[in-house]
Amino acid sequence: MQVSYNWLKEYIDPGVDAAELGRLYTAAGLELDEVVSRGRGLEGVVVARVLTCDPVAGSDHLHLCTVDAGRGAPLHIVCGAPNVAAGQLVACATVGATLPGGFTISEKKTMGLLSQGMLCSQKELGLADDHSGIWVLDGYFADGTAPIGMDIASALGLIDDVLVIELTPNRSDCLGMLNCAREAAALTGRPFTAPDLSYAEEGPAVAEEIEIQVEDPVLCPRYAARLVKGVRIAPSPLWMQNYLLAAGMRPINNVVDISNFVMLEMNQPLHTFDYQTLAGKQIRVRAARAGETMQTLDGKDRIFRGDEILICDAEKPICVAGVMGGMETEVTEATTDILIEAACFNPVSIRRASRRLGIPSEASMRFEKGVDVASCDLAARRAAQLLVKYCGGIADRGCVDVCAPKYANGFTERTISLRPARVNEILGTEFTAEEIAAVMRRLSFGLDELPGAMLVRIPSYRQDITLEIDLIEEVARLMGYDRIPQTLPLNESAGGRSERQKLLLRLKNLCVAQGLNETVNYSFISPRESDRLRLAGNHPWRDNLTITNPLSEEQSVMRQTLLPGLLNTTSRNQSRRNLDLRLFEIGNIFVPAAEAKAETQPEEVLTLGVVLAGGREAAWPQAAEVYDFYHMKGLLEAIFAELGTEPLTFDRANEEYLHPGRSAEVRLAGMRLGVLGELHPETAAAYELSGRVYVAELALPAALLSALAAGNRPHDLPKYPASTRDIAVIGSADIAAAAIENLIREAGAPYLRSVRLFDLYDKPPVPAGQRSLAYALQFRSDTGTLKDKEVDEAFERIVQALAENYDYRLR
Amino acid sequence: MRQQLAEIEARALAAVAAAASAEQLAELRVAYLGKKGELTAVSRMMGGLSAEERPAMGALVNQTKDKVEQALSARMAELRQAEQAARLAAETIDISLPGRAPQRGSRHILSLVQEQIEDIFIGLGYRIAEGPEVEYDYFAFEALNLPPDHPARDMQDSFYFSERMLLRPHTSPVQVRTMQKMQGELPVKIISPGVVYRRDDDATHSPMFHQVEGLLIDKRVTFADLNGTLLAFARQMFGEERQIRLRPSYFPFTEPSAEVDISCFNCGGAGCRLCKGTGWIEILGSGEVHPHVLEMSGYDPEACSGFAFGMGIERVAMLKYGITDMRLLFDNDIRFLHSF
Repeated sequence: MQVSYNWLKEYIDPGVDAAELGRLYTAAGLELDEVVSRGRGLEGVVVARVLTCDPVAGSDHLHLCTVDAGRGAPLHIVCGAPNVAAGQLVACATVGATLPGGFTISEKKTMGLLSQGMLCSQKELGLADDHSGIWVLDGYFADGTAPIGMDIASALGLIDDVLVIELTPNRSDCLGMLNCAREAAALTGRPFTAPDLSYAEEGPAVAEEIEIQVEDPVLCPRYAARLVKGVRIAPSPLWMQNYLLAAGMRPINNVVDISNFVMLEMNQPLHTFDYQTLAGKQIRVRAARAGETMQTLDGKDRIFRGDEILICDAEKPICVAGVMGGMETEVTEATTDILIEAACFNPVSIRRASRRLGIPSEASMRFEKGVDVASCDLAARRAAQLLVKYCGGIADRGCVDVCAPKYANGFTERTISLRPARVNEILGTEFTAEEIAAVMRRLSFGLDELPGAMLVRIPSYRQDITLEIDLIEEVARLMGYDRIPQTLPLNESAGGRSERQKLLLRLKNLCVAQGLNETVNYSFISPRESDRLRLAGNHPWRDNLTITNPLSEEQSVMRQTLLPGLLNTTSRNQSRRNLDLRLFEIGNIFVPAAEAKAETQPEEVLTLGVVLAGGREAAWPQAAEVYDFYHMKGLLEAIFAELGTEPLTFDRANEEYLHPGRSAEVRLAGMRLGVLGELHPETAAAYELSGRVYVAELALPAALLSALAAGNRPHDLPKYPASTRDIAVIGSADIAAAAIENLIREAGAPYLRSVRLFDLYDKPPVPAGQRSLAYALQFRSDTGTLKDKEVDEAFERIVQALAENYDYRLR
Repeated sequence: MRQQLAEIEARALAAVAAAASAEQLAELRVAYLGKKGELTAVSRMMGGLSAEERPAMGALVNQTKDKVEQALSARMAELRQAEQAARLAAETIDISLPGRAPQRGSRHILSLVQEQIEDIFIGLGYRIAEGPEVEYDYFAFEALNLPPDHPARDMQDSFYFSERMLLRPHTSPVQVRTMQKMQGELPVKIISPGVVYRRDDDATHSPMFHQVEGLLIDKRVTFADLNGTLLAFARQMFGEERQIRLRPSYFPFTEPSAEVDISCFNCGGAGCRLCKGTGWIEILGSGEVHPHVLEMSGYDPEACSGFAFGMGIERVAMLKYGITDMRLLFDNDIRFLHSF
């Protein structure tokens, strides 16, 4: 809301300047955004008259004008505006004047012609957005009274301060200047004066000239109409134009301006019809019928769905209620008789209609937030008064006022009982009943005393106040939030993380301990990621939960894998020459429900994703290192070992996006957690990745986390010493190393405690197709020191088993 | 004999002193103290002495042996020390060469700040509650006093899958779920951190961001308690000298509602660029839980009351660590990640 300080002063003298008033508003919840100064800094811009205006030879738009700017001899000014003409009153920036844009006027030559000033548009003066031509001041002054040569700021009363207020949704009442003034009165304690609405009604009774029917009082709880005839369309008075401009609206003509002025003053949108164009002199308010059409005054043909509210005459729709008027009944230059509509429409219907038709307006916005049904007719009266006063109209007598049956007995005041004890109980304050009552009185709320409470009568314009808590908020707001003490709640409870939450945090820290860097990627991805991953057409990851209103296609489906986010991050880093990448992310993936997936919550599975790409550069004394499959595998093994699980197991994986020979499924105690491996070269190419990239993605379902959290590793040190033996065996390279190791463990039981591969050799003299594996074995017993013989026997069992099962021989 | 001993002693000591290696000392030991050594030979001559002379002479021989023995050990120790010193000197390295760099991992700044916020509230006795990111309209809006067509719920603000289901625009649904699960039990004392989504994307907004919301409901929890709790938070997060300021505001699920500012930690409140000259920085939204919200989740607003607050983790992180562009937080440039 743009609150003109000059306008506000019509109703209250706040006794403080605009900045201080803004501070008071802010402290009370009407947040001041800024104070915009209007009409200042325009010294040297004067009222002037164009005496002559001739086209400049050789130009298609320039005119050379002689201008009387009250400076003795007429000024010669070259003007490029399309609307300049001899005889006009204009705003002329004289030499030395500085315009709000910072441009200082000086004498200059244009196409060889001396120009001694500039004729200005409203935009150039910082007054409005209108830049269609120069600002023509004709009509602002009675004939012969134009103060030629006077600074326009004083001549036109332009100097004002505009408080730009950010209104919260509950205070839409302050979309009306009167309520802003009432609020100022409550904050400053200064008296508020409502405008005088009286005027002479010299015409016949309105009811004799128009018939109004409201079909559905739910859609339109009140419809008030007044009629003013014989108006003359002209520019509105200068003060009104200034107020409208300050409020951010463009003046049009006296009838439209009055309608907007009253809306801004009373927060009640009005509509004006050209009475003579109404067929049958009837107004019907009804729901639209599906498929019905009408041309709105922006010239567009609108087709209705059926939930809009229409204003119709005896024959046809003439206005989309609360949203936009129709072409045929619009007030034009030729209009003389004005039917004023001041109505209250169902906010939800207006909201839907304005959204759907794509025409939000100052009026629809106010209807959506809800207008004060009790004061519709006051706004109609105000408009009639101004039409009589400023347009030469003659008002009909009275008003046709159709109210919903529930208002048959008038508009009853809402009353709410307010308990001072409750106020302090909620706020933690010690305000007295008298202090609380004083706040109610400052707000002009009526008060009746009850035992232990006060009965508060709420004025109709404060629709936001319906509960005791709303009044408690008013007390807090007006007493000042700085009066709220600072205490700590009196309750004792042991807070903390759940076991699962602790484990998750530990997992993150373990990843960091492995030298991984945590990333955060968006949960929504592009549907095209499936193609980049080379997923088969029926891959479940192609069936994603889809956002109906995404910001872009790139962010339109919920991920079922962390990989696209991580790979795009990798690619982005590589393009910036960040080549040593060890990344991880822990976040949810979203597995759609089997049926009705858009209406059923997906399964959200917490997932760990890891990327290793590139490697470490040589950094003396360490040699360069390129990440490979075994870096990734070792990293996962280390993390899970640290969590105290049994060892992970690995089987060959078969995923479209992974290298078929360098990828594995990861299992824990038989449960598949996910995969790791080298990215398939074509997937890597689709993400524009360079070098071999290793990824891992493991689900961390709740069951796993709970199991891990419950687990506890024994930490006793062994009592007896261990014996170590090395073994080197040679055999077929087709036997998986894990099979060999498992066999060693089996054969070496029960004393074999650890098996560590320390060398693998598959180059000559080892024959092709074979390899040599060397393990360090550690034997230990929990019941005594092992004898050499016992160790030798175990070693021999291992040698035999390897020979028998896999034809592996000692080297 | 005495003279002979003195002469041997002098010669032996001189030789020991002159010895330059452990090997030479070993040879000297043999030469003087060995089975065929000179001093051994002298002691053998003791037999030729009278019974009167023998004890005195015996003592003298032993004294001489001890002296030579001590000299040998002392010289040996000297030589060892010198040898070690020489070895250590030879092992001198260039200490100005770089150290071996371990591979350094890092937590994401948002994850770190979330943990910091959690820890502060855990210290104040809060539990951490979590809930789904894809939510039903009922939990995201309706149960929070935002019925359909409420003006404060603009469809433009949230990402929808259908009329019924959306990406949560705040973590408040977790509060509703917690209250409904606790079925009237008191106190409800939780914070709910997590990912949230809104349809905004510019230098100060990300369509996905993180929030921590808090909720305390008990027999009598006042607006003043909210004020004090948030003061405690602000001081732990931003420094002990911080003040906070409540400003009236509006949220459908709280009343009275307040925007909360902290005194600027950059300028101490004098006014600077960070606080746009006001001395205050807006940090979170809060208020007393609206009676409708309590009722809808089975709590009697006459029997209990509570407060709720919510803050953006991005904002806290950016303020605390002086990050000016929100996009950095989701860009995951390794150089940025490494800086925390």
